[in-house]
Amino acid sequence: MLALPAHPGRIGALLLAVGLLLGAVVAVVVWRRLRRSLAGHEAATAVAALVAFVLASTVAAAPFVAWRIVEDARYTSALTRAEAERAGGESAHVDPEVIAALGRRMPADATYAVVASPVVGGQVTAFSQWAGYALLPRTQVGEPARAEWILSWDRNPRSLGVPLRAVRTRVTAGGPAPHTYYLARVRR
Amino acid sequence: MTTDALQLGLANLCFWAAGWGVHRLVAGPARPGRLGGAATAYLVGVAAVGVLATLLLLTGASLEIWQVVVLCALLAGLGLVRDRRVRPTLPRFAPWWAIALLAAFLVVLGVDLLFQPLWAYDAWAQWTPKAKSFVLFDGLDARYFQTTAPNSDYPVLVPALEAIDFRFMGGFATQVLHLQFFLLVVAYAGALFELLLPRARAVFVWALVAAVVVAPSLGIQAAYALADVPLAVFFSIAGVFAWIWLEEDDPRALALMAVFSAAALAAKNEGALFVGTLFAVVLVLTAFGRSRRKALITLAAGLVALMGIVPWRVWAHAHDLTNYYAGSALSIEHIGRVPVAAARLARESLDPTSWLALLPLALAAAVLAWVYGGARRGPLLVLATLALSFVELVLVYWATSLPFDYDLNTTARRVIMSPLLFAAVLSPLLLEQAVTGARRGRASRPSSG
Repeated sequence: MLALPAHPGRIGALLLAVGLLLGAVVAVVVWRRLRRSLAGHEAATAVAALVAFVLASTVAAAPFVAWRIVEDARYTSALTRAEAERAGGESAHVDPEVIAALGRRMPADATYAVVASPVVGGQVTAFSQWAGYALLPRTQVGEPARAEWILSWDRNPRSLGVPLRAVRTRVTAGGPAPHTYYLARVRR
Repeated sequence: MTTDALQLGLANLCFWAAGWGVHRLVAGPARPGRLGGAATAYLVGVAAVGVLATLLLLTGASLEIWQVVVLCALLAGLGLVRDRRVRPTLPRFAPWWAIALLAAFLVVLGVDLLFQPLWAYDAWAQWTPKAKSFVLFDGLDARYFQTTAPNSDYPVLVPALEAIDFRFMGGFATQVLHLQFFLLVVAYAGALFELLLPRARAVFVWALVAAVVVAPSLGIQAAYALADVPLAVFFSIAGVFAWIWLEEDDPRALALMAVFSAAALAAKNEGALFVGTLFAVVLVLTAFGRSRRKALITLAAGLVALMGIVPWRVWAHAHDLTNYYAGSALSIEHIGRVPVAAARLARESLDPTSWLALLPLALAAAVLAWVYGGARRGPLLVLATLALSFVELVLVYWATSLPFDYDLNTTARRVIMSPLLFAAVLSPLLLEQAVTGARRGRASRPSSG
C-alpha cells in the first residue's frame, strides 16, 4: 500500500488501546466457553489457550490495521488517474513525465536502446524498466547501434559513436540535481 | 473506474463459471459440501483458466474476449456432466456479527485496493508489462520477452489473468486491476470456511480465517499486485486438498490438489520448490502408510500438475529466456549467508506486525495434534513441508547471484507467505485432531464448539 501511516499517531494509539481491550474480553470469553465445550478432552486447556490467544491478538490488531488501510485509501482515492499512473515511476525515482513525453515521439512499433551517464549508476535499471513498461508496444534492444531510437539519461547520444539523424533534448529541474534527457533517432 | 470494475467483475464471473464446471466435474454430487462450494469453485476457475490461458498463449492465442468466453463456457459445460439435482450443503458459519465484522474489514480492504496505484517495483517492471504485451502484441511475443521483459522466463499465469482483465476492461486501468487480487483474497477466505468448517469446530476455523484476513501482510501484498498472493492462495489450498487426500482417502481431493498445484507452478518460480516439496512429503507419507496404489496415484497427480509449467519451460528454453538468478550457484565462500537468511526468514514469519500469530498457531497446533491427538500424518505433512520449504528458500539465498542483502531485503517478506499460509490454514484441522484424536477426527463432524 502506497501511503500507510508510518507512525500510529493519536488515533492509531487509541485504536490499539481499544483493540487490546476488546482482545482481552474476547480472550476471556473464548477461553471460558471453549474450556467448557472441550471439557473431558486431554488437550482442552492447551487448545483453549491457543485459540483464545490467536483470536484475541487478531481482535486487538483489527481496528488499528483497518485504520491504516483507511488512511491509505484516503490518500490513494484522492489521486487523479494521471497521478496514479506515475506513482510507480516516481517511487523508483525516475521521471515518468519525461519518459512519456519523449517516448511518444517514437512510432508504436519502434525499437529503442536505453543509455545513461555513469553518474546515474544503478538508477539506470529503474529508468530502463519504467520505459519498458510505459512505452509499450515499443520494445528495447541492448545495443544502440541496432536500435531505431536511443533514449538517454544524462548522456549525450552523440558520444556513442552511432550515426544519428536528430537529437531532442529535455532538461528537468526535478530530483536531487537537474537532469538532461535525450531522444535520438538513429540514421539507417 | 466503475465501468472498469464492472468489466473486471464480468471477467471474474467467467472464471467462476469455469470453476463451477471443473469443480462440479471433479467433486461431484457425493457428500455435498465436503470439497467446497462457490468460493472454492471460483478459485478452481482462476486456477484452471490461468493455467489454460498460459497454454493457449503458447499455442498462439491472444486471449481476446471471445476466446476467454469460449474457454470458460467449455469448462462450465463440464459441470453439466454430473447430476444436477444434488445441491451442496452450506457449511455452518458463526454469529451474524462476526460475519458482518469480517465483511466490513474486507470492504475497507476492497475500497483501498480499488484506488491503489500500480506502484510496487516488480509489478510495473515485470508482471503487468507482460500482461500489457499480451494485449498489445495480440499474444505471446518472443521478441518482447527476449529484449524488454525482465525475468523473462518467469511463468506467466498472473500476467495472463491480468491480460484477460485488460481485455474485458478494454484498456489498461491499472488501479482497478488490484480488484483481481482482492477477489482472490475474498474467495480465499470463503474457500477456507467451505473446506474447513465441515472438518473442524467453527471457533477453530474462525480463529484462523480472521487472523489470515486481518494479517497486515496479506492486504499489503495484495496491493503489490505481484504473483506472491496468487501463489500463496493456490499453494495453501492445494495443501488443504493434500490433507483431505491423506486423511480421508478422497481421490477427488487429489484431483483438485493437482489443479491448484498446476496453478502454483504456473504462478511463480518458487511454486516449483513448494509444490515439489508438498508432493514429495505426501508421497513419503503414503509410502509409509504402505499404500502403493495411493502413492502411484499421488505420483500421477504430480505429473498432471506439471502441465502447469513444463510447456512454458520448454518454450522459454527454446527462446533463450532467462532471469536474474540464472548465474546462481552454491558456493562455500558464501556459507555465511545461511544463518543470516535463516534468521531473516524466521523473523519475517514470526513478525506479528506482518502475520499476527499465524505461525505460532500452526506450530503449536501441530505439536498439540501430535502429543494429545496421537496424530502423525497431519503434523508431519505440515511440519515437513514447512521446514523443507524454509530450507529451500535458505538455499536459494545462499546461491543467489544477486547482491545478497538486496535480494534478502526485497524478497524475504514475500517468499515466506506461501509456506506460512500453507501451515496456518491446516491449523484448525490439527486442533481438531488434538481434541478428538487422529482417527475420530477424520470420521466425525464436529459440533460447533
